Amino acid sequence: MNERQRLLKLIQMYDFAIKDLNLYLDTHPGCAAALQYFHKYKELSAKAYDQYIKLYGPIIPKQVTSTEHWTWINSPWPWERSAN
Amino acid sequence: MWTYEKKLQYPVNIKNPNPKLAKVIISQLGGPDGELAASIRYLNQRYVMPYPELKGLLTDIGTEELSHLEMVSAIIYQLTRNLTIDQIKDSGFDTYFVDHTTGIYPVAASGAPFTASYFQSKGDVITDLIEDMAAEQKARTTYDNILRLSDDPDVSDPIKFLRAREIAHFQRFGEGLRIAQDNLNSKNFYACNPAFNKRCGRNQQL
Repeated sequence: MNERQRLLKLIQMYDFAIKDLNLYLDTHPGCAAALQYFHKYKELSAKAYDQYIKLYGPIIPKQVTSTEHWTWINSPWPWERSAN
Repeated sequence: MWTYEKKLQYPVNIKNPNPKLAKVIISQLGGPDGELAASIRYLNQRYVMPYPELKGLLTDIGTEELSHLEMVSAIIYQLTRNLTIDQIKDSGFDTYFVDHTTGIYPVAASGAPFTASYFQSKGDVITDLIEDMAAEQKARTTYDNILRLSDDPDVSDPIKFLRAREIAHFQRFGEGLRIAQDNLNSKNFYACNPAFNKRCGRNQQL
């Protein structure tokens, strides 16, 4: 596993935790413990994104940082083996 | 993957319910040239596209169509609020109401339910892009017809926005087709299919 794959896997883990907490909080909006977990993973996810975007490019179009090139369309795309 | 944004792409704020108008606008949800067919057409076609510009374009337009699906649904929802049974009967909305009450369900104005046979994913770059260009024009015509049938500016305003997007998408798909053709043999664009054939480029002979 290379560095890009390692960072991507972190993002996938953190974002999956956020998604699952999101669903749980939808039906338990008053659960303070779940909300605390949500904020913890939100922070971890944001840090992992920052690193990933700087090194390997955008995950959503708004994260394009280059002022010279539209890096959004750069390969690979998520359905290609080399992206995983 | 996708995440949801809790906003419409363009505002929908309709003062007066109008079930008769809802019954025709629903074609842009579940009809032959509607937003659901558009979205899944592009999001299915994108996988085998060989050029990064086209992978990006189909992903991004397919995603925008999902937000149009939401706008059309919001229009139908607002047009069918607080209806009396007499309004439902007199407007002809009763044929939809009997199966769905005022729930949002993808059908054509005729009542025909949504079907995947409204679109293709042919796995051929030129074929798929030309279908996409035709689809945008067909949707634009449908919005033109909706504007002919609407006398409510609250409805016509977001419909005009959606109509303008069809034209913008048509332009981008035309440019996508040009990009594909620039990568192919200019003497015979059909010498090979770059979504299937290996080494299909400018020098490929039939």
